[in-house]
Amino acid sequence: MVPDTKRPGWIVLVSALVFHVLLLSLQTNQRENPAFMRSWLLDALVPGQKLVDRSIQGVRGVWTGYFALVGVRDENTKLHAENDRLRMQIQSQEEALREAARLRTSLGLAESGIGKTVAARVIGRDPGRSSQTLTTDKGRVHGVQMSASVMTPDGIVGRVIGVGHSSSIVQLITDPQSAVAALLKNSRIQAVFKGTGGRDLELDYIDDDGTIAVGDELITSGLDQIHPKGLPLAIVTSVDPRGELFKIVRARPRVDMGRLEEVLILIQPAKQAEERVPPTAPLPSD
Amino acid sequence: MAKIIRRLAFAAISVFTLVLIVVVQGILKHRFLVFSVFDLPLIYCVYYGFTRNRPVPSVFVGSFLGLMQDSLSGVAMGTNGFSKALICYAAASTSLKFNVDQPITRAAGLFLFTLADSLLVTILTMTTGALVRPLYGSRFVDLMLLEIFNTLLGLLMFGIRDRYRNAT
Repeated sequence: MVPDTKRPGWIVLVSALVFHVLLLSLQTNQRENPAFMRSWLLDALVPGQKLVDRSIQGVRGVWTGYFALVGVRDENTKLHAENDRLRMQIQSQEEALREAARLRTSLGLAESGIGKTVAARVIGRDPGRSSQTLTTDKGRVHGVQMSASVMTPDGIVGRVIGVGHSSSIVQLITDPQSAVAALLKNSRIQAVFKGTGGRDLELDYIDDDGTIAVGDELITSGLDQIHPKGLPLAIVTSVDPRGELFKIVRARPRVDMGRLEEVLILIQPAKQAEERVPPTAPLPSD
Repeated sequence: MAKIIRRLAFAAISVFTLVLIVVVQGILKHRFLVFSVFDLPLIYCVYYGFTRNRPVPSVFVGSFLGLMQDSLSGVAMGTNGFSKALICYAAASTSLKFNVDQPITRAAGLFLFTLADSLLVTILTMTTGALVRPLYGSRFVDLMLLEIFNTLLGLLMFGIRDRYRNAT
């Protein structure tokens, strides 16, 4: 028999645990819908996170802009040289790009670009240990939607799994719950790579006849209807036997997930963007 | 009236402290990857339970911390809430029965509660149908590292608190 003085503690504990179990079971049935509580808590927590992040950025900016200037001159010279080289490269390819756009328009082919994106700052990571997610400072008001693809110029980062008013949660491709439809760039073998919770992606149960080798480049295939086709995904780092018939293939993402500061969130995929432009629209002039 | 204002102010400061802990954990983990081995909300749960000795408020503190953790991560809402509520209550109940002022008791408590939290979160994540990394191999090593680092950081926090109390 529980003494009267201890009963409130047990009652409160059991009530709290029942509440959490009900919350879990509610989401199990509605996995596609964002949890309403997540949205509220996100809107409540993120302003504080943004404030702290901006303060850190400010201090960092003062330090790197005015104090930590060792090597800046050399870096500046290198960047100028690379800038000149890239500008010459762009100029030489501009005519080829214009011709490709003209041909695409005349053939009625869909725009092969990525679509419309919005740049977002990474302001935090998940405070838990069982998932790999980021918090960004762009949300519903900026056009971010659930399951939107997130990327950097280096490659795919992940997808949006939670959207608040002006913030969003991004699930990294290395998260154990993540899976990306991939394509081997050279052999065109299609596969699905899953996150492992660590730094790598993993492909299970590939046919032993598959010609996958270490160093092969992986790109997105677009079949998951989330990530646009053709974007860099990962590079194969190991191919080990698994039993007699299968192999385990591991790949390292092209993006360094530990050093993300800014990402691009896809708010309007290329097909949607192309629908707004009639096929006979004139090409933009320079 | 003054009493009500004092209570409201205390409640506001408490909520602000809890929010700050979760926000700081997220930002520190982003800026310094080494913080991925610490779990500040869990350390605070054990700290609160051991120092306040009040099981009922501990349940609310643990639930709130856990739900905030869930909202900023990819797990289902309620996963960390369930675990932290239980652990915070267990810590408070333990402090009523045992002497938790000794470093060895605190270390043992932190170690066991960190292990319990990891197991609970893994089990709850599995029951919602989500995939988890198996708890062996490299994951087991990660778990042990988490236990040790969490325990050390928790002991440091307790030490700072004891020093502050002695000074005042």
